[in-house]
Amino acid sequence: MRGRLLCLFGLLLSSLSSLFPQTYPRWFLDPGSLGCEGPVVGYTRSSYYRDSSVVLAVRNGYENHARLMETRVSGGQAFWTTEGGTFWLGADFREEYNLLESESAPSRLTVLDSFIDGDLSAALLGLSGCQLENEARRFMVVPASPPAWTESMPSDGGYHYGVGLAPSYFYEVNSWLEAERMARRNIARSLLIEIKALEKSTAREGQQIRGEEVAVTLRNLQVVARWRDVGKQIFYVLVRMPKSH
Amino acid sequence: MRTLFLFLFAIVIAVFIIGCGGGAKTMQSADTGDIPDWFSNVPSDPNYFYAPNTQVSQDLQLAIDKATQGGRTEVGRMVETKVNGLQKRFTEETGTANNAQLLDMFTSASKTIVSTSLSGSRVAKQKTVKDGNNWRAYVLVEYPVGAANQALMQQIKNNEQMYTKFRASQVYKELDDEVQKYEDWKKAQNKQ
Repeated sequence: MRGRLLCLFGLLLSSLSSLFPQTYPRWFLDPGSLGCEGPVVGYTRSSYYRDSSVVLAVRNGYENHARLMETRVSGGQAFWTTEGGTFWLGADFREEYNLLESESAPSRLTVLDSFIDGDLSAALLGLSGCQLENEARRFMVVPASPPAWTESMPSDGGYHYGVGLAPSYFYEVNSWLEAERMARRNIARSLLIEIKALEKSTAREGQQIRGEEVAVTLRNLQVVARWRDVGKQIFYVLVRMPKSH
Repeated sequence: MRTLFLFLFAIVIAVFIIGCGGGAKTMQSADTGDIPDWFSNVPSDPNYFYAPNTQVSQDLQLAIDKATQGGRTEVGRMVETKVNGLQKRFTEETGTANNAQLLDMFTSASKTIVSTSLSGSRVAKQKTVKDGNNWRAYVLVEYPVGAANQALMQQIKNNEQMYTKFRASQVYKELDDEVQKYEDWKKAQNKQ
């Protein structure tokens, strides 16, 4: 009976959420298709005043621009695997980017659009002279079926790709920011990673300690697409970097 | 009669409560429909090493990291197996099975490749599903065989004395051809 009640409650919730589907502007979900060069999205938690929200989102956009231009990802993490499972031993990852780049960004970037939806405020910035089409400003419902890149990494001779995931946090902005950070980290890992593993096994048991270390500088990154799995509440971001860099 | 009726009624209620009790609560969801095809049927391509892995964690990112690192470690092991195979063929061809210097060269080569760097390894496919209260991540790590050959060749070239000896062998010619093919492939990729 309890199960049935829970099931009924779940169905009720899902039908309510389908009545109010999640929407975002197209430039937010599909920035890779914009004709503009170097578009960057800044996010923030919505403030009481709309103006403050946009200002804070733009400021985050300048920081994100600096991160996309050049970020050094370094650090590592280790795991201990036994027959009981894999245990996390610890991690220490750092991201360094040029703060001067974010300070000089206002002279090069203009605000193309912004939106406020619930607790998320976002602003789209682009290089001066960049024109945003009306189609790109239109709000679109997050597709129910997952885009192909969420499961299969795109294979493109000209770019390194990285997909970042994040669970749903209390503030949506934190989920998007973490997904972007994870995508950057995954690109760094694919470029060069040190893997060290020490395995020990006896007739009774086996265990392994393994660690990874990464120290890579990423340049000219681009956020290509975003997707939100409304059912599982997972946030996805696809980032790429030209191979020539 | 009334007592019997009450007794039967109590039994029905008890069965109902036990039947609806949290039996399913302790079971983890193990929906085999969630297992991706590429995890069960690992792709086969002579140009790539593929290593599938799956791990669980309460933290989504940690589940992915655990699985990815497990996959990369497996790739390292595959590279080591390839180096060992190459060593065997070389010693058979040149009759230098007991040459300590040669053994050292291959040992250090395989260790370096496994523990130093994987350049170009990537998560080709990934899927995350809810597994009870945990997240389960399935990943497929991909590593080009050419990149492994290139790293091995570099190690061999670093040892001048053995390199001179190794160059004359058929195994070297094959390895060199493979490295050359990989270089050409990389150039073609960059041109696209």
